[in-house]
Amino acid sequence: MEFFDIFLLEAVLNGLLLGGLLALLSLGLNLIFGVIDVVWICYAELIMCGMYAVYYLHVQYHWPLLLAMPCAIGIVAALGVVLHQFVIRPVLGAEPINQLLVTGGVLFFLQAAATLVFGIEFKNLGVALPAIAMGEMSFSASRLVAFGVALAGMVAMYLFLKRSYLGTAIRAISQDRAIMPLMGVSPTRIFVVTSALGGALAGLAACLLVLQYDIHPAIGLSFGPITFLICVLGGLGNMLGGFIAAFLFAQFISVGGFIFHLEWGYVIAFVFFIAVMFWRPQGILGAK
Amino acid sequence: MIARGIAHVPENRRLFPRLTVEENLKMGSFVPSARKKYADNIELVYKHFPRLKERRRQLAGTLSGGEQQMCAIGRALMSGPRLLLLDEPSAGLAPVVVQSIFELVRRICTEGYTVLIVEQNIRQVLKVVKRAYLLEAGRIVLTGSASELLDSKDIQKTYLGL
Repeated sequence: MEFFDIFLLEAVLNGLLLGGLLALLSLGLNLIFGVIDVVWICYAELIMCGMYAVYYLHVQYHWPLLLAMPCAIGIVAALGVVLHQFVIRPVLGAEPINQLLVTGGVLFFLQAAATLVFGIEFKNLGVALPAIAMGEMSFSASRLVAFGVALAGMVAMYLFLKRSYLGTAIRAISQDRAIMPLMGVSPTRIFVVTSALGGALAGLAACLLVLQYDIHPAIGLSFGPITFLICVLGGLGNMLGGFIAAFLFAQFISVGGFIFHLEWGYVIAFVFFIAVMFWRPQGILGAK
Repeated sequence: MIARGIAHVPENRRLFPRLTVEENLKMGSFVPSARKKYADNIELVYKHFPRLKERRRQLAGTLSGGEQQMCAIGRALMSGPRLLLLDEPSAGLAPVVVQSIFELVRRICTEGYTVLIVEQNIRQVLKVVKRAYLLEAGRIVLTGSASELLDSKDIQKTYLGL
């Protein structure tokens, strides 16, 4: 096989684009886990809700996309807060397994509710961005947009966490929750803000995914598990780890799929995941 | 409590180990009234503790025990408090370091802060404070100025081993 051909380069670049999106997906889940110490198993279902929000606002109510999308982000952020207040908060002190079960329950609830309300047929936004040709290579514009927005979103998140008072408090609270009231910080309020942020990130991901994929009630299953695996691979709660893991994983999927066969890309990526778990069960950058 | 001008330096410092020194100080000025005075306060803290300024980009968890105590006191000062509570500032520190920490506390007192210290290291703490209250099993058994307590027979026998 000829290795250094232009299509391999195309696969690598496509992997990079996919990596950006996966990194954005893992960011929200890692943020929630890192701060609140709870895994939102239903994270991808929040994204599904966001996709439906964009769809209905745009297709049904004819809002322009650039208005529908921020609205969808707001809706999912609100969902995140509702999820925290009514589902997570009562089990904050409970066993981790109970917390998993509860958010797992929300996953099925949202899926079933979406089936009832929206029906099972696939819905399509009907917005097709053109493919961009570069020499012999071609990239889908929606992937390019998704990559750019995902990157911008992550940079914004980084600056927020690094520079602002609230962001610093969000990082501090994961290190010593009990001491926060001495600083005049209410942990309850920080948790709500974090949940809203996690929701907003899910909403942003929804806006980007809706450009590339059809919407159906079970769509969460096509990227929920992958998001979770990436977070575990990078070290659950470690945002930098998740970032690295996302790009690694995407390369395995894209380049592996190019060299062998499309489906094999996923197989290789998951074998890589399992191998890493034997080597470093805490994840690439996770603490013991 | 902190909004009312009382800042608390907890036992064992309780810094945020994976935040930098400066970020720890920033957390001390989280309340809105303190945020406005962030620039003034951090300058003041760095003036008292030049060591913290040298290490401001370092993670707090990598500081030595004495530096951590400075950082914890600095964090409390960042709120511009009227009353500063110190809970066992000598806990877990080497004797030399304890001495320098108390020296710093004494300097802070002369700057016009009111400081309340809970401390077992009686010999050191009595060198710093004006008034002292001796607690035994939760009740005040002796009060007086620092020199009065130092001269008291009870204290000398029981606590100072003289």
